[in-house]
Amino acid sequence: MISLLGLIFAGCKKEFTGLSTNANEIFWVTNNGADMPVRVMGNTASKTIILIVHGGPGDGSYDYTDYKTTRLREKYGVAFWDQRNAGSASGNNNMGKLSLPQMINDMEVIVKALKLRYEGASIFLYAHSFGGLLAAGYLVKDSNQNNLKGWIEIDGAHNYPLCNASSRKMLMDTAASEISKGNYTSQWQNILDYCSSHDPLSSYKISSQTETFAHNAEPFMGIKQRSSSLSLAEDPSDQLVNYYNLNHTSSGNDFLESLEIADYSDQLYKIKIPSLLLWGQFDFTVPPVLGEDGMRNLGSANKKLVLFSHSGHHPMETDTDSVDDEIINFVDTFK
Amino acid sequence: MIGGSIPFHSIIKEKKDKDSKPRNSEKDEFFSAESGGYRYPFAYTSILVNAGIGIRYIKSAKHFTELSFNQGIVRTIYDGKVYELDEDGNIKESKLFGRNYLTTGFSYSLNWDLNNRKSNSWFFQLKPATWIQYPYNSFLKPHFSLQAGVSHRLKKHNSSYEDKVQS
Repeated sequence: MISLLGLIFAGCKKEFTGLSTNANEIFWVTNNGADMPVRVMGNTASKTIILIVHGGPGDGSYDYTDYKTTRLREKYGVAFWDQRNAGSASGNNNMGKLSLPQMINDMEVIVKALKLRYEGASIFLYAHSFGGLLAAGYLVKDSNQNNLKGWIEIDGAHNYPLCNASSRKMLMDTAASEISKGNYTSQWQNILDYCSSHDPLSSYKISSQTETFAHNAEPFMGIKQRSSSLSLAEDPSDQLVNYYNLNHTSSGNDFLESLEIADYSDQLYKIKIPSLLLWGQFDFTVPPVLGEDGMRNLGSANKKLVLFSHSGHHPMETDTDSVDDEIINFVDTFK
Repeated sequence: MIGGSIPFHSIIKEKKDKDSKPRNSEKDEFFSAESGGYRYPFAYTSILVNAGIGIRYIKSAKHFTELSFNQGIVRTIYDGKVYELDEDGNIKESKLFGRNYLTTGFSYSLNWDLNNRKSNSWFFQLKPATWIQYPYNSFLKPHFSLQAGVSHRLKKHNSSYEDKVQS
């Protein structure tokens, strides 16, 4: 049988063709069992590259290729990296190798590849949520930070225990306040009842449920959320595999549980490069307390925390222009 | 995709339809092999080789269907350059890098006569298929495909259906 699929088989390969004001290229990094794609889009001719360190874990970078980075891509090159076992990253039997130290090692290789490919470019990190933990782990290790001009932490979870404790406290405090105002009383009461009797530091299961409440609480404060579960990877079957692996295998559960004690607050003093911390004021998942913790502990001479009053866990979605203004100002200053 | 199949067993039964007219029912069991590929734009290209076993249901001289089970291998070749660390911790390009996976799948094809003659040998084929790729990130990656193309039946393997019908 001769299939028509053969007709589309002979597509052209995307090769690096040099710097461009409108780049759209891909390269891969293979490291210890994982093949990770890095799509580079935008103005690489600027010789400034912003590396997206996505959240999750397990989400993928595809979700950031839309309006959230449009202005950034006009001014700079933006590198969308899918971490191992996330997005379109692939490999054979690699779940047993999934760990935070391994992902930090992956990130070291990714940054080295960027520096080789875009020689002389200024590289910045754009780390969101779990990406904040990963980026902090990378930056405090050895002399890694010397590869970068600066980092941007957006609602980053660089200290999971603090994140869990502050999430619970913020939910309970807000619930009490909102109930007294008569806003969404039954929903907030449900959250208050659970959080009052469950400590997320005691088990991963409770931590996970608290995170679900934190996510659900944002609309009660008027924060618009996008339903983006299907946009986390280009191929929905990849998303299915990643979700199953993380949540329904012992390797995935071991990895998620290991993150519950991950804490870089006491090592943030090692980070001397310029740091921009952007936080949604109504982020119940990674509360602004984490941003304040960053400001208190970072060793950077240039550090700044900005709160966005109309945002929750994703200020780049809900306060896009303001977030972009801060990022552009920061990058232009330190590139 | 391009491939072929060889029947190894045929079952022909005479039946009567609701008007009591005689009618033949024919099934061919066959081995098959095929190779081909697919491309996921801006990501990777995959090359497949499959071997299978199946049943061909010959509905009439102008129409037959096939149900088959396939086992194979797929190799993915990534778009763009692939980098890795060398022994000294430096980045190097890895030429011709790819990964191999096993595949298992089912397909069902519908085939219609193209030339509308008694010696029909060319058929239009529509073939929905589902298959899994493994081990993919320590799990199974499901695939669904719809292939459209043409199939050609060699004369020596032509069905006896026409002879029976004409006799």
